[in-house]
Amino acid sequence: MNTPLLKVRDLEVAYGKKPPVLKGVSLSLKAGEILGLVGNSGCGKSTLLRTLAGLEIPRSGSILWEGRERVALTRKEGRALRRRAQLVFQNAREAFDPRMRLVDAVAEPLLVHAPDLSAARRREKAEAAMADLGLGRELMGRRPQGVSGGQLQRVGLARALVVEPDALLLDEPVSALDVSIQAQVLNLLWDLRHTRGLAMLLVTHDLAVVRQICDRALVVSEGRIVEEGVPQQLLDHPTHEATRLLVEALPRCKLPS
Amino acid sequence: MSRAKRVSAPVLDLVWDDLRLRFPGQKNPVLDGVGLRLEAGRTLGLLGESGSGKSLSTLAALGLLPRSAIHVGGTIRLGDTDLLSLDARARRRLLGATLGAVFQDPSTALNPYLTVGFQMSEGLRRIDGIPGREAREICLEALETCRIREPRRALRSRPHELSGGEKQRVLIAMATVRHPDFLLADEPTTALDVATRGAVLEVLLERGHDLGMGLLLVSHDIFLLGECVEQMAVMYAGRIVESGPTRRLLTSPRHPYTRGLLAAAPRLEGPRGRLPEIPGHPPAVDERLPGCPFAPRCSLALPSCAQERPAWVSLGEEGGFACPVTETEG
Repeated sequence: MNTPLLKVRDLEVAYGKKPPVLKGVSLSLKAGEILGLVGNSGCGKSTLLRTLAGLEIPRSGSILWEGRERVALTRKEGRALRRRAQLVFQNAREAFDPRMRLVDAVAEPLLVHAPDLSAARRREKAEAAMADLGLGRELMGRRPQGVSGGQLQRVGLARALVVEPDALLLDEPVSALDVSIQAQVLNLLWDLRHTRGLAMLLVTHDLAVVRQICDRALVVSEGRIVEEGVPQQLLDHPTHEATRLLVEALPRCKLPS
Repeated sequence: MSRAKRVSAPVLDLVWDDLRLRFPGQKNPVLDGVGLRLEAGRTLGLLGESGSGKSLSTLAALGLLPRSAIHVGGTIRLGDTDLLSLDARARRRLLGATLGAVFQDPSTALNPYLTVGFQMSEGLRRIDGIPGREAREICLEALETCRIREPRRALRSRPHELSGGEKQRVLIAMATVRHPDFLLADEPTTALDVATRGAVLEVLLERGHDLGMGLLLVSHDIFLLGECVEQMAVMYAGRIVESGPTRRLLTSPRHPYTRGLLAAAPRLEGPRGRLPEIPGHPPAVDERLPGCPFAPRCSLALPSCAQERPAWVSLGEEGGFACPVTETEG
């Protein structure tokens, strides 16, 4: 059990012939850990997430899931790994087919990852995944425009969870949500970690979110990881300039004494 | 000319009084009795979630409401003038000279074909009749005070040549170049990169202070407003549910919604893990109850809350709130 769930070594990612957007990135994610990735827009944190999900091909470096090299896998093995790390997008509205009923959208990943299941069984699993996240039966037949942003973000999570992953890759999961809804989704993530032992890689620009639910955080700046630590320590004693700027950019979030 | 006018006439407050608006096809009003007072030279924060009506309240003052909006009742007054009854001509005289505005997305607020200098000096040249050379100097000065590093270059450039943060600072300079009495800023930093938000906010507050403008800062972020404004008003489902000095709202909020927002926000201190969440979601316009729109999400709600519109409880200097349940607290 000492092998981390995910180990990334010396990763370099570039788009086309341009200079790399990620350079020398190394990190590890333990089972059941919530790891925060923070940084300014354009720092490369979303690219990192996309690469780990298999949506970008790294130029060099290695991505090991439980000690196994991702790029050396056969197609089938690659698919099995993709199932285990599911991506959840920032803007749930753009992540859904507007014409598809929500329950079908949630069932869709099973077509790929559990092709042997019957349609009825797929639907059953999708309904269970939605019900687990507090989404009522009345929502299941609706289409994305028929539900609120917070509900749709939950549907996004249900779609990720339906294939029973070990890790969630979350790209700014609450920043597009209303303030009174953010806490609901953060609580949900916190609970999922405890009830299912899910590991999470959470990309955000908001250090308050990181402090609230992340066990550890990495600061990304100009394509590199420049600082790592326990969130409170990063907040109280930032050592790198990039971290310091992120801390300073925050409203203090403290009540005046 | 706006510059001369400022010296002579005393500036009056900008007052939203029981403003009610409706959209066709909806049975409930989208703004349901909004009351706000932006005092001359002071700062007011308007806090609300998307759909609460905070942007509509701002747009109404600027005469920029969607055409389909139906004015059901109430006024927005500046002295004796009701801004909602102005014709297009009178409104044009007001915008820029008396009321300035900054919006959320700087990338859509500038004309991409024109140089910054041309669009920025337009009001000065065409309305105030200031000669081009002099107008240019005034613009340069405004850009400089808004911390645009090379103001001469900025004047010559077109919008795409500026970064997001620069564009928003240019827009602040542009909105204030004719020294309006009030500046209405609707989520001016939300669309910007985190790293540039602080600087833009600083420029906005400084500029407001230096010119003695009344500043309305609209935001969804209670902590951001907490750092920036003297007075705050909390909006929920088309109504103001609480208002008062920022300090009072942050330290002893009285409306359950304000309390819920403060408790639910991730913090830089205190316990980690689960947050005290507000259940449910803000109601769509036609889901709103005749009584208190927050009642279905409120842990303190009484059966009567859903039916009876809560009366405004005044706290004098400390503002007020609309909740009959917390009214009885000692």
